Amino acid sequence: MLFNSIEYIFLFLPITLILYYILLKKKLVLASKILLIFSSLFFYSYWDVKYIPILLSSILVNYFFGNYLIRKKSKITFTIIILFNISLLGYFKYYNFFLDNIALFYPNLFDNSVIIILPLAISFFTFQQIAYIADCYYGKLKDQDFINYALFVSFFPQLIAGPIVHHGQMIPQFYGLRTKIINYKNITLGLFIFSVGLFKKVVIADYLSEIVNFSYQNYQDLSFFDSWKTSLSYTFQLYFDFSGYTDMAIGAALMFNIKLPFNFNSPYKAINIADFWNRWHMTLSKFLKDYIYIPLGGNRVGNIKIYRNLMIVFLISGFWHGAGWTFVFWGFLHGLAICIHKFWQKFDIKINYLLAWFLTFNFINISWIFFRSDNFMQAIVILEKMFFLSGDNFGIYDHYLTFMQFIRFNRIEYLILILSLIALYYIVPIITKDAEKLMKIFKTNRKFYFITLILLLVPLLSFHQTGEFLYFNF
Amino acid sequence: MPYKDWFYKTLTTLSIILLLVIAVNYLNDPLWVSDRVNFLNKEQQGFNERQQKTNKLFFTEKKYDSVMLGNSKVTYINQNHFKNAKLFNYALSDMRVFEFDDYINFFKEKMGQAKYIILGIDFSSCLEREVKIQKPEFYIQNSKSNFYQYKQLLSYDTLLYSFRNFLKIFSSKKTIYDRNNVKIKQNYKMIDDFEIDLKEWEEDAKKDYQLAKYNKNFEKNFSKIRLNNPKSKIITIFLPDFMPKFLFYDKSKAIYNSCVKDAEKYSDLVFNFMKFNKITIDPNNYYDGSHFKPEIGKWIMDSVIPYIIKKPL
Repeated sequence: MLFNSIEYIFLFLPITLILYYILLKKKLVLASKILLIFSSLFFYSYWDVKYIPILLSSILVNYFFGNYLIRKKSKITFTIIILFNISLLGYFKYYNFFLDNIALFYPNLFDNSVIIILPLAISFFTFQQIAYIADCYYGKLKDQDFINYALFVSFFPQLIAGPIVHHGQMIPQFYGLRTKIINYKNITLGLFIFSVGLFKKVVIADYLSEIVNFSYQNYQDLSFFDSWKTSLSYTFQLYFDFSGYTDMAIGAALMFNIKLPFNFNSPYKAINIADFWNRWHMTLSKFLKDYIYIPLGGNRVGNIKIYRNLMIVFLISGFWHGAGWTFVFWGFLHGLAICIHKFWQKFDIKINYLLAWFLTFNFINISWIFFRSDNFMQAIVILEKMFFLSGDNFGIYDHYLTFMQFIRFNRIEYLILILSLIALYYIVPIITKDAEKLMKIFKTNRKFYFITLILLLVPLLSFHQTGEFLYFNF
Repeated sequence: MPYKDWFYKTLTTLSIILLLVIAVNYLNDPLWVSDRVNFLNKEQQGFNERQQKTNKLFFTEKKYDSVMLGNSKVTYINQNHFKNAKLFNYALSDMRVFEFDDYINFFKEKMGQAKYIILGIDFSSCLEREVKIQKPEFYIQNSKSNFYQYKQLLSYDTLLYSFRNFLKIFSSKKTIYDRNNVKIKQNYKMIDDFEIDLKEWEEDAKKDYQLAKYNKNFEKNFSKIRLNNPKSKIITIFLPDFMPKFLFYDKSKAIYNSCVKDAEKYSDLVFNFMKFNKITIDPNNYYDGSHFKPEIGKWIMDSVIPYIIKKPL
């Protein structure tokens, strides 16, 4: 089930919320947690029920082996359970990738016609549980209660697309639920943040996705300006989509009095690449730092090893994002950028703030092209069009502008429109605020009343779109 | 303001606005998810016939035992003129022959085996043309999707069409459907609205017909319909295009001949109104260069019915 669906907003969320508070009011804390677990499983199975056993077996195996590791520190058990998690992820996420690559050299070795469908959320719940197992092994945890553990992994607001929550942030909150009663401050703030996320996802990201999908399908025909419009549109689509979804997760969880960690902090305002990773998908950055970078030696090793460790972290990050060489290359680019940044810091040379922002933003924008492209050729063609003027450079496909698709523009009008859009993209990072700051400025006044209404009404009435058949007038 | 008050105030306002939208869309029903008839919805715009007619068939309480398909010309034929069966006019603007079988299957899924399958064909149906149309599966799955009839109520798009439908009542010149799936154009006259530059038209026709290619899937599509509907009576009607100039050019005439031959192979009955005749030479029978008036549709039906009755099922 998606957050941005009528089923979720009008049925699933309110029904779960009402039942949850009824149970809490009757002091049935255990029942309220079981309700949340079953609702989460229903939420997950609404997408495809056949993947429920994968989620459940992952929870059960990690819970029991985690508790075993708490009682007995066994390196073999720890290795086996980490391998179990990696294998689960490897099989479902990377099976086809590996087979396709082997087939390049040995075409008849394996049957690579079988397509393994990636179970939703597996990347997220696997990472969360790897962190849990590691902390069990290193003696950071005491015996855990199964219900709280199962709820930590399956809690529906964060299950599908994060934030990647840490057991240390979540489980104590579940233990404390008995003291929680209906809290209108949390429900109101939750509703507001949810509405911000919903607007970002449905109105902005989904609109941008139409431009991006069309442009990437027709990438050979892009002009110079089109290619910039395309790359910037994707940069913002990704931000509004992901941060919108995270905002909805944070908002929904807050309605249950559960605080999820913030995941974005105006990332496109970053003035260097390290700053960007402190603002973008912050929970992933923290996971990679705590469970990969530091165990590899972190900053306590020699210079060369620091660069090596940074590169490993970003290559893993790239591979985690998607099973494809373009994702790995995207990770490599970010790893390289962060190494260069680290090296640059040694010279203690200050550069102009605006220039630093401009360089960082454009690097991120360019690197996203590899992230989005289906293959290297597509990425290279788009980059060529962005940086090498060739052919018709002033807008060739004026017939496709989704918000006014019946209007045709002449070249000058199209150019003005496209430049305005590009300018807007550069302004947006300066004016937008993420969930944490929005929650601080929120007030229960008339201004926020109207803002919230608009933020809810526009997307809610946009879910169902009825396409018009162009020929219908005949 | 206390959080509790603000929360309930926001939720109440939101609910009132959404309920108003739902009420208007429910009463007007521009996507045809019900058989409701009232003063607000008696005139409907056929803005997306593929979805609307699929919805109509899926959600209706009425029973149909026969189906008629074809392009926009056929949409103007009144299904109620066919007295021998309960006919559903599933014709769609720019409907292609490759779509026929999927929509017939959907009809059968809902209404059972069709007694008569009437296929309206014009010269454009015989030609190979670029496909920019969503497959029938897309519309059928939409209709079948969970809570579809409720979800579409909560929509700005649907609201817009509800208002447009309502405003149609005040418009004199319009193309509308009534709630019984009957399409009409009001106050259109070909002489006023469609000025023909015969010389230019002839040049265009010559150019087009020289480039024309026969729809290579025409026969395959027809054989599929025959194979999937062995018990139905398949009736193909070649519809009257205004001034059938394709008969003047060798290439287009060959296409026409192949088309008729292939249709005959797989149909129980074929009626051909496509040649030069009293209908096709008179502009007064048409709204524009292509679409004939409902009375011509009625005349076609009246002409074919006696033959259909004679041929046993």
